[in-house]
Amino acid sequence: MRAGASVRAVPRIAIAMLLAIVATSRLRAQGQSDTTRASASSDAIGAALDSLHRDANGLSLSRSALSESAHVVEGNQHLTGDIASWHGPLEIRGIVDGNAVAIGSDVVILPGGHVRGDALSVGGQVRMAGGTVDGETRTISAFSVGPIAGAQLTPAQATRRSLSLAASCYLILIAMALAVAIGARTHLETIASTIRTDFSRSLIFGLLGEIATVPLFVLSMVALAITLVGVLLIPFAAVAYALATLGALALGFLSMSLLVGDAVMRGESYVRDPRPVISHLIAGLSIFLVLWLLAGGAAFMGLAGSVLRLLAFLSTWIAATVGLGATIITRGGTRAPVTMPNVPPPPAEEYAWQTPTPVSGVAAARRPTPAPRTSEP
Amino acid sequence: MKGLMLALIGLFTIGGGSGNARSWRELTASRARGSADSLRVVLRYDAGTLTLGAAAPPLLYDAKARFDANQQRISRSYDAVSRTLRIGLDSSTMQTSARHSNSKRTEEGQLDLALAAGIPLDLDLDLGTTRAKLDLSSLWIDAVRISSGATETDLTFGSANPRPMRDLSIDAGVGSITVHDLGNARAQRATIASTVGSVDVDLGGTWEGDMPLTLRVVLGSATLRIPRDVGVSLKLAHRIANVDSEGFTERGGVMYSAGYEQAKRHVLIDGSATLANVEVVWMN
Repeated sequence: MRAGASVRAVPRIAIAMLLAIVATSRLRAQGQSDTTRASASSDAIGAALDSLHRDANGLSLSRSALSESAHVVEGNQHLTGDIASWHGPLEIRGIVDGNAVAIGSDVVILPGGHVRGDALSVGGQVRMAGGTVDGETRTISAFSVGPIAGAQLTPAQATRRSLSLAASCYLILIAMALAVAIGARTHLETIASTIRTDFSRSLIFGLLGEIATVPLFVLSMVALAITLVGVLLIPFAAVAYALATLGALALGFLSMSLLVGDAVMRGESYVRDPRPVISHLIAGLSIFLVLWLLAGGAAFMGLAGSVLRLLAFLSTWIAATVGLGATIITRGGTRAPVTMPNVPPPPAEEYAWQTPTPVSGVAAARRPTPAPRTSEP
Repeated sequence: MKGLMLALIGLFTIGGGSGNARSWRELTASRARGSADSLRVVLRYDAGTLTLGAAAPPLLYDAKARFDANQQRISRSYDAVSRTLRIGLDSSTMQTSARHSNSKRTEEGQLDLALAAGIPLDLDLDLGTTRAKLDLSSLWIDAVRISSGATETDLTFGSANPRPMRDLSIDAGVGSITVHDLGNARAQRATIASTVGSVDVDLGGTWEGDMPLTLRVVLGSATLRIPRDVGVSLKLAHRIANVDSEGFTERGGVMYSAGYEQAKRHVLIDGSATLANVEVVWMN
């Protein structure tokens, strides 16, 4: 009863943990975005000029060159530096020795207008209306500065991505577990019993299998390529090989999960026979899920997060490797494992149990006999 | 248990949504040709679709790019002294590139680059996971080097190069390469290498004399489409490969097509084929 109650408590604890992790990461993200918004709104122009400087397609512009609305460089004007407008068109009729930039609007080069540097518009267009630009004519739809999301995730994003990955893998494995439990239950149980009886051998076979995967693939492709007909089969063979390898890994991992589930639910398995494979499989997979959720949830915790991830990875890898080894030994669960033959004890001698006799035997005792009778007179 | 499953599905949905967030940007950059009498282009493009063609006068170059600012960075620079244009699009990770290549094609990044006609161009293209359509018709190509990872490259020489090309080199990793009218390139030296995938080279076009072509194919197939009037010499080191040399005669380790001596123009093919199939297709 106590074991069953603790098992039923696992989902509740997991839900509570998930909610706590998501809430923590959301709060952190919200705090960061609030700070960013506050600093950005304090000086929008300064921020825009900073973004313009940091953008790979931007340029450096001093604040003094910027007009806070539309601006026109008249035909009789000759500017020696840069000119820029902020949320208003920049019209050039005269000569600009530097760059002409419009942020949030267009740059228009009118007849007589001559820009010796670049003409750049952020969020608008550069319109050539009779003038000339010696440098580059460039438009960018918006700034693209800051960290690249894929390369450097924020802690909240990293946490969310890790949790999502763990959850999606778990759901996929659950679906596979259901399919295997229904369609290949005996195979699964054969592999699981092999792991139970021959763990170290399964581990060694699993390691060898993992090492041999790539060389075997190359060899089989070369073997196919030798023949002309085989060359045509290479794409199909490659896909089949990948599927077979992944299938063996998945079957092995599920068998290992079944054993873990047996261990967790052993209070119930003693009562019911045959054991409920599906619930044991789900219980076993849930243990691995909890490990990965902990690791994912701790993504923002630095070293502790790394240690948890390493532990989750090692436990999953060992489980998959041992499972793969057992799958190889049992040829996918189709053969019973080869075990040491049971040697029966030698047959006991009849009646030996009645009078235990020492090996050295028992010294014979001489029976006392009466002295020989002498002759009578 | 039901609650846990619902929580997991919710988590999966939230995480999945955030992972696919895109932030598209557009960049256009062009420059008037001015006094430039040549142009060297160094292009690195990691993921997306690339097109290359001729620019309208008087432009030296005209680039239009669309990219996801969350995953990629594009930058360009022009050095007026060395007349070198550098354009680079970097994706954050290969995983990102793979996701892009697998996601909807309409949402992938794109770079359209147009270059000035009438001046010699030296192209150095480094392509990652891309689909490249390079139309070099009406351009004056002095040299072109293409190095690619996993690409689908389509290269066209629609008109004859004004001057013979110094060097043409294509080194493809995985994918397919199709070259149309290679003869128009008038290449003094051409090298095409493919590690895994298919190569389809059409030697049509306007050319005279001898065209040396080095072909290296590993694990894949190569199809050479050759005009009937061209004499072909074939010297391929083939290891576990099939070279379709029907109608060829061997002399001194070199295969010659029928009527080789009488032909006014020749293509001299050397190189190697490993675990590959090389086929010669005659065009009328």
